[in-house]
Amino acid sequence: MHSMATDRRSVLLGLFCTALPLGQAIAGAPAPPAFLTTGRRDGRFHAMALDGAGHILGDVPLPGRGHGFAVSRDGHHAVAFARRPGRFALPFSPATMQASAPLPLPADRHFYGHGLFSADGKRLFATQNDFDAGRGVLAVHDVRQDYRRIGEFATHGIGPHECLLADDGRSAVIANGGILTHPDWPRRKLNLDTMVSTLVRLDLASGDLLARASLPPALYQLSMRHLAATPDGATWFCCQHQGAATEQPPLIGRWDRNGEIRLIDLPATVTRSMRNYAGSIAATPDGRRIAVTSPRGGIIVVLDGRSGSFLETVSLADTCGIAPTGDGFMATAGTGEILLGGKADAYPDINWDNHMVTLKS
Amino acid sequence: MRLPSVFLLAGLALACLTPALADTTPAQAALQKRLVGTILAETILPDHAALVQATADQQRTMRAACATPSADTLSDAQAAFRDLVTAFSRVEMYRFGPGREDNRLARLNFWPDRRGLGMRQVRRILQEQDQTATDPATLRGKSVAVQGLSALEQVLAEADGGMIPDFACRYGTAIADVTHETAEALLNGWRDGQAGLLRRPGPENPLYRDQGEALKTLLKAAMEQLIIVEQQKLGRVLRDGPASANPLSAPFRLSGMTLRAVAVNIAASRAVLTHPDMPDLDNPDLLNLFRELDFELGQSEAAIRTALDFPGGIAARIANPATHDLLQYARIPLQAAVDLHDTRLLPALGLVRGFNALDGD
Repeated sequence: MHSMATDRRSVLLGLFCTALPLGQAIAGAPAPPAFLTTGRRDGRFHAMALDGAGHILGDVPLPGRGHGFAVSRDGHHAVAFARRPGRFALPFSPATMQASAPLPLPADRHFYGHGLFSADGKRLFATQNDFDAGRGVLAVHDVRQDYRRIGEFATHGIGPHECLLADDGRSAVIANGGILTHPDWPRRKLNLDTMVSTLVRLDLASGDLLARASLPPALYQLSMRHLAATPDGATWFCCQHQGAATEQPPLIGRWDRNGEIRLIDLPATVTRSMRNYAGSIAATPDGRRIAVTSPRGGIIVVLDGRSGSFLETVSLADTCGIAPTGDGFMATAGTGEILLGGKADAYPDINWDNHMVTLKS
Repeated sequence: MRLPSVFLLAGLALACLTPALADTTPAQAALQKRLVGTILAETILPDHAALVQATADQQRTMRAACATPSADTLSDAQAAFRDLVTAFSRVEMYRFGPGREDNRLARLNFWPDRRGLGMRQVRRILQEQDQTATDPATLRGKSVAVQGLSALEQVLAEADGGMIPDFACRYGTAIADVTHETAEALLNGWRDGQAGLLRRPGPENPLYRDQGEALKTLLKAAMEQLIIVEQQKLGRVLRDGPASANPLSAPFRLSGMTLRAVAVNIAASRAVLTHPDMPDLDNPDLLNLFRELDFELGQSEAAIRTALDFPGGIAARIANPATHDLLQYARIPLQAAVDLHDTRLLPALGLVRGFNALDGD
């Protein structure tokens, strides 16, 4: 059983809390999974399926700390990726939470934590590091041949992180974070003085570079890492600043279909509170709301997806995972808290990890 | 008009920007403040001042070695370099704030040099006698890999017959000048900016909302250094045994300073993390914890200093099975110290280790 969430934030916000049974659906018919996320429980890492109320429906043990997911459009297939510089990617069924054999990986590559399925579900693409050459690649796997690795495309940048299937269904948008790393020096950033972050659009059949965007040179230490698409064809992105902590540049931006890239100005107090670190971004299906989490700041920033104007912040310590629920969002935190529908619940024995995805019903 | 929160189906208005901070007792908050003040006054500021002095000594001795080449003046310049490595190793952990601005830490020493990039660039300057590298103004505009300690070490290794060749000597003097400028900027950044930010947290402080955030920043720097020493400066060099050891990846190998620098790194982290003789500390459990940590780090430091009694450079030392074993042993207390910090020190100080705010995720 998990405890009542009675943190100071909930009290201040007038939110109410309920105790939910851990690992058990609401009485009655089992609810279908609505979200996938990863977390640590009892020192072990899992991919977990949650229902629409945040109850845990099932889990898949992972060999190490997980990060993001790729989910096929029909929702039948999912792949949980290792956090960088991890070496596993585990396919599983969200309906049964049964895993199959992990994706093959060459010795000179590691995963960056994200991937996507092609529109027809026949291909799985994963961002990877060709670490000896110091370049990013998008690996191509054949789903119908047990995820056999059949090739890779250059991402035309260093440190590719999140990737999304574009609205045309034929191309992918990839955030090249720009930070050079090597597994011999785990989590050490090797090129902060020269880094360049880009957004690119690649043709998923040929690997051709269709478009590329970068921020002004003065913002060269702003690493674009996470993405969310809206129905108007725009890609929203959020960043982590690798420069001086006092610089505090904008961390949220939008890449329009016409190629224009722009950063969103927030109130100075909000930017400051984000502590130069945005961890995840999500958009409601209608594109009217954008939410960005900042675990270091312990806040969620919500924007108007049409105008880009700032709407509000919500406090949630160590928050990172965020996914749309319809016209709103569900958020998770490393403290075990889940914020959903005006309620803050906590699983104190779980550290929710960086990302969460919504499954289409 | 305020829009309803997208997290609230009930449409409750949320208070804006409630800080998501750890619950800390008044006694813990007072102790956090005291520790930050102590670490700044007794470690960080004096260590940065010592670095400025060491760079000034290096400037003077390099000029003397160039003006009156002799075995004595060369020896003075080499001794000043060893002192400079020692002084740098005391401040190497502070890769944030003034150390991050203008890439000052990387400018002072380019490490790790993953593919020998810096060495190749320095070699090219020496071979081509690039005159722009002998003027500090133009040297500053070059790659950070050719203007810091690792470059100067390579220049000093050019000495032949008790003299440094003319071009190398002028290049080395320019490096010493740039290093001195950088060290002064670093000290000023700490003295005039960062120290005040750490000492005076609050809602108007752009970096630290409370004393806990300030203290955690310093502890994190010290812990990360221990992890880097254990995994990279020792682990990557020692590998599984003398036969597979890799001295080429050891920092400051050419000057024979690898192990001394590592021992100083540990001592510097120890000064931040442990306060076993803190007067009037009315908390016996915390005092015991400080002593446990101090004991672990002392064990590691002592093992490394014992290894220094074996003759030869790092290559000879790790080729010797007994020394290799001794250095492998030195890693174990470092691992124990990391565990003590994460599981006991942070909670004892009223601090929470975030799960979701690691760089690059």
